[in-house]
Amino acid sequence: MTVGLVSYARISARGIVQGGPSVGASLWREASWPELGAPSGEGIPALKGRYFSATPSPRFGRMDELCKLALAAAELCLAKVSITRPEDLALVGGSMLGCLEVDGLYHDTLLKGGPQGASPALFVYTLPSMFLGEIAIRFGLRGRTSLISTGATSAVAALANAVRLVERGRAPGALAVGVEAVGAFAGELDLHVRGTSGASAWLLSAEDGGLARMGDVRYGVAAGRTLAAGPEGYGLTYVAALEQALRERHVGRVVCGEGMQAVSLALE
Amino acid sequence: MKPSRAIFVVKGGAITPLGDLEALWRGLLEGRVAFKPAGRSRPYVAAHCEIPARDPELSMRRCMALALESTRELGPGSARSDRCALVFASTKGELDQWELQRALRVKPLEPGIVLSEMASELARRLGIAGRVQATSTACASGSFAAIEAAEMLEDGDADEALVIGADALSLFIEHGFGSLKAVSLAGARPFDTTRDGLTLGEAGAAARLSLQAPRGALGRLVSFGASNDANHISGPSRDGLGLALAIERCLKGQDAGRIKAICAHGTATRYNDAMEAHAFERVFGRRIPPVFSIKGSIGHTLGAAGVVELLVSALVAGRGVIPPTAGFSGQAADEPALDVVRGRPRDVGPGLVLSTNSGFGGMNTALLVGPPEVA
Repeated sequence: MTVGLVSYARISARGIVQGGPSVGASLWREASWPELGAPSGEGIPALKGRYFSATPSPRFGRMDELCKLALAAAELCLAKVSITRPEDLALVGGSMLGCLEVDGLYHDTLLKGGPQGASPALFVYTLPSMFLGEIAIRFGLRGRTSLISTGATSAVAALANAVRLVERGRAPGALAVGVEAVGAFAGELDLHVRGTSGASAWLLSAEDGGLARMGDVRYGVAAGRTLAAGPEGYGLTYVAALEQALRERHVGRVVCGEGMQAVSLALE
Repeated sequence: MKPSRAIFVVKGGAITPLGDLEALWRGLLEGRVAFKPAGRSRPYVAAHCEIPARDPELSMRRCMALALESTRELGPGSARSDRCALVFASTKGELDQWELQRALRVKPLEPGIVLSEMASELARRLGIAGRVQATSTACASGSFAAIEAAEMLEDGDADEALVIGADALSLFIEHGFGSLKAVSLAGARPFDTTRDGLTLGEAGAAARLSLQAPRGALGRLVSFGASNDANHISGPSRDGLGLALAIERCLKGQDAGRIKAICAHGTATRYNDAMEAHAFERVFGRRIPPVFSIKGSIGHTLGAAGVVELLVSALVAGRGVIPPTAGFSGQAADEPALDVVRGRPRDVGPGLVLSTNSGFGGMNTALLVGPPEVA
């Protein structure tokens, strides 16, 4: 059994990509940051809710960068899509670095101000799963909610987990969100992260998808089209290559990662 | 949801502020409290573990030491290393090491604060070559990791799965919860009318899950469910709807009347415990099973809590005794008034135990745990 990919969105330094019948007959739409109303410049601009929705979340401005990126990807993915049974829609997040950037900001308030300097507004975002809470609040999603971290495959592992949930009847649909916020604090780690901030979202349904069908998730070594690993060294490493396979309407298995930690799924 | 195949908790191990798993069990039955002053210039109490100094390399890595120590009682598994999975649950990973290294201006910093990095190192140290995943859903991380591991077994991805939950105390966490005014100055008193906040604790806990039930297996993970409040980013819902949804998903097709006890999240914050009372009433009406919380004894152990409570629930299910809730005086503040076990252990006989957890971001989980032979 396979499940339907209803819609897709990705946010990167270049702008946004949306996929699905809701964006038009071509199924794919791209827009640069200036086209979304953001000032031109290098990288992702300071995010504003209005770039992604005509009625943005009033909470958007208060969020940390990770939550903003994830919510923006979810907004684009769910735009003009009606969710059946939102109370049962599963939410699966994938991130390698998680909330590291807000961890650093919050920790700096402690280093500078001691216990009295601890910022509650920052502290509540020092959990890697908080972006899922923001998405759940925004869209009224009451399904099971989880965050997976598997290094470079984190985002596609979240997608694979979501596919399984729908395939096995554990949820009628699922939203998978991969996200990374990369800043100064990632650079402090002995990890060699070269990617830039970004996010992706996939909406899955047990019904027909409109964009593609996917299923038969496997873990470990598998034969198929091996997606090229970029140099990013973080959880969104395979997202652009998977998007390319979807745009090419690739049929067959795509493999992300190596050895026992590889994850693969079949595309139709 | 009940898994299509029986999932057994073969063995469990823990390091807690009351000692290993058996020491924890004895301490809970005796109503012991492990809270001590948190430290100089900190007004509240906390529950620290005494970690045996087995490896000098880990002397400054409490979270890794807690995680590894918790696995010592498990012994070798029966699955091939590439058919054994690891699901690691934590809210912050090696935050303690990161915090210390940043304060000392060490460059570059060790990456154990990244959960997948810590999970990979754990797998290497434990000789696990199958699927490795870190799961983090705030204070429901440990119980969600058990769900993920059970589904890996159900789906045939592994023959055995190790679930390890660990979080260490740190100034980062202590001052953060302090800034939210969520910490009790005197110590957590779950469900009590005088409760005024949680007590932070630390722990490591490990459970070996398998499709096979060897003689002496600890228990069975009968079913599970999860949900999101979709309500507030850091506060529990006032009406308990989200947790009730998780419990209903867990109990689908089950006879709720067979449940002997509820191992509640029971943090002792005013809002969490009230929310749980409402959730239990939504699901059970006036027939709410007896409730207990272990957080009055060892504090809130964050990402480890769900695994510790899974193991304690399995012990309650198999031994038929509910431990009292330390700190509960007998005066319940909430409506409906819960039957909180207090003072001394209560014999109820072996049977099913429901274990619930909730966390920031609206996360809720419910696990139904029974003796190995339960249907």
